Amino acid sequence: MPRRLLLLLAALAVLALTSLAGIATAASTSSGAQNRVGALQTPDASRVGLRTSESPCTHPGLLARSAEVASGFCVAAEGEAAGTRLYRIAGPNETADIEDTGGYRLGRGQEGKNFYPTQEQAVNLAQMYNDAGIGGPYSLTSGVFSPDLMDTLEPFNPVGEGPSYFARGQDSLDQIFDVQIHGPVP
Amino acid sequence: MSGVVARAELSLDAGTGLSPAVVSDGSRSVLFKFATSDGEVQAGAAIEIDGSPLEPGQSGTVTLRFWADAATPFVVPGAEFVAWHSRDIGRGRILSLI
Repeated sequence: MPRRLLLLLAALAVLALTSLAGIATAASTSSGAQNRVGALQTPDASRVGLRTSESPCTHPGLLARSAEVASGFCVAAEGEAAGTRLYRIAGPNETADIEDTGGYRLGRGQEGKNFYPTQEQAVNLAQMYNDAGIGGPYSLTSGVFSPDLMDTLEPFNPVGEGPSYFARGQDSLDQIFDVQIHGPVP
Repeated sequence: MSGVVARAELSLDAGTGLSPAVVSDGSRSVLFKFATSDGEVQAGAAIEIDGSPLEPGQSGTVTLRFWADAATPFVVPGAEFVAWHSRDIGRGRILSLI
């Protein structure tokens, strides 16, 4: 076989291998994107990119750059994907844990956590804690609950706090996504 | 200081599987439910406890630091309450205000 033909075949083989590798990479990326966007209730979904308020559909580098463009991965509008944001006051240990893990975790002995529909209620609770000399400093935190997760929450209405929701168990907390620390409550 | 602080007798139900950490010094994880003519009122309080945490089946005297001023009308000596964390975990009575 002429040497030129051998070189041509080798180049084609290299090209083919490179293309296969690219497809594998894309498949891996798309799988992650689908998990993040299409299955918001999975634990994995709640652990990706939690520190920012960016939607996965607008995150640079993902296959789907716009929620409005149905790419097979972002099939819901951003607002629909966002669900309902609920707020919670966290003490220093819990705030540090959120910084470390990107999500809410049950404290020792806890069986659930309480969340408020408005940040004003959460801030009000921190101020009541401060006024009563209970612990602190406190930070305002929040996370987004899917409609299905909202259906599992147990409503409460403690005096002075207004309506709130109890999220029972670590499984529920794992489904909260886009967990954010907004900052300390003065 | 705001809210209302009270000494209370607290008895935890046996067999609830409750972690001792829930009723320990500094815990804010327990809700206290007071019966009223209209139903019940729920109030949050931080628990202050001298010594070991209370475990299921145990009773003890604790300090309850209710953080909401709105709890004041219900936290009165003699008032009985149900303690709740994820479920009803025990019962108690306000002994005195501090």
